[in-house]
Amino acid sequence: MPRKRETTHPIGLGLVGTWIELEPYTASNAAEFAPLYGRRELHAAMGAGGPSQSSEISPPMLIRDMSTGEAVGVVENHPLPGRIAVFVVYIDRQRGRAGFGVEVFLLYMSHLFDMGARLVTGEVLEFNAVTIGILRKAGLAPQARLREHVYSAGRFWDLLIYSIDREHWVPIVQRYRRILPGGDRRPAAFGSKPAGG
Amino acid sequence: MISSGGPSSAVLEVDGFAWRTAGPLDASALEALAARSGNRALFYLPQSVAEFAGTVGGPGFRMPMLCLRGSKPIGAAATKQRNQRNLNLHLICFFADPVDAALPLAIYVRHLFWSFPLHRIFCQLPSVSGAAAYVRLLKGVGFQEEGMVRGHAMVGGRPRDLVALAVLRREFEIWCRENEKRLTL
Repeated sequence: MPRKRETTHPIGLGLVGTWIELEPYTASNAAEFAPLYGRRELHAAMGAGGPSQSSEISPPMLIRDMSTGEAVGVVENHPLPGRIAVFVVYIDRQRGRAGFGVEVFLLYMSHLFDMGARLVTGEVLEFNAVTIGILRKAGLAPQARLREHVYSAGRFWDLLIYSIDREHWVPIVQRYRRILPGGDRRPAAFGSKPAGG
Repeated sequence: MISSGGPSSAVLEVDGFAWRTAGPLDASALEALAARSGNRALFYLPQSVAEFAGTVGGPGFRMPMLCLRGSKPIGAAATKQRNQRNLNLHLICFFADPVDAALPLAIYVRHLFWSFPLHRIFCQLPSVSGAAAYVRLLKGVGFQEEGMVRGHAMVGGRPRDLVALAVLRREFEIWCRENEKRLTL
């Protein structure tokens, strides 16, 4: 008897959150990326990575503060063989707010899986406490610690490798569903104070 | 070894193990080594070994070298992904028998640290048949295991876990002092 074909339902969070929206790279917003990339390059926690030129899984996206319309960051991915997407997010400290990072993390990660990523990987420098905190709160632990792998801000730092597949990601999204668009609760802490890290 | 107080020399021949640059004429020797148990899958070696030996200076493999014992090829190595900012690179090494390859591998690793201002050399192995012998080999010359990333390697169309190992320059210097003083930088 033929097996019933399994279908993968999209996570379907979309690109619009409560506080931010993600805007894919287009010719009309291209100019807004450059200054953010410039500031990102000077941010120690971002290490040595350059902008992603790839739209293989999903294009780079601006993070737009919905209350001001201002572009406050960039989120993108670097594709690796085997449909692996390396997730990269930068939020300008002066413009970001607490909670933006969590919302970007949930929306963009879900979007990558909906676009066909098999695994999403995060590479985080050991001192990036804000990102590590978001990942820890989501229940993720590093799978590898590449010792002194990245030179940034005058010295070598360990690089923590996080990785997750869709099967393990969906339950995490479910935990946050109520504070995501379509949920029945508003995230009270979001947007209340400047983001750290 | 020269001990004049200045920098030591490159060591590419110790106890009968000799490394030399691999070239197109070594294709059959490289092919035979690549075909040994699991080597091609472990190190993502190209189907055409000519590609391995013929791309010096271009993207892909760098510093391809062949290790001989007497006149017999017993191993090969190369590097890729050399990162000038982070001063690290990815090591590819495959041997006829990894169990007996500690000294030849140490010679090649030493040659990399001697040749470049490297801080770190890393190696990533999919968990396929033969990986355990290479993990032991690498640990035997000072590499440390840094974790296992689940499902990160694709081998034969199937996802496999990826073992990460690396050695820092200072760790390798200590390894040389404690295990093989002739290789001390």
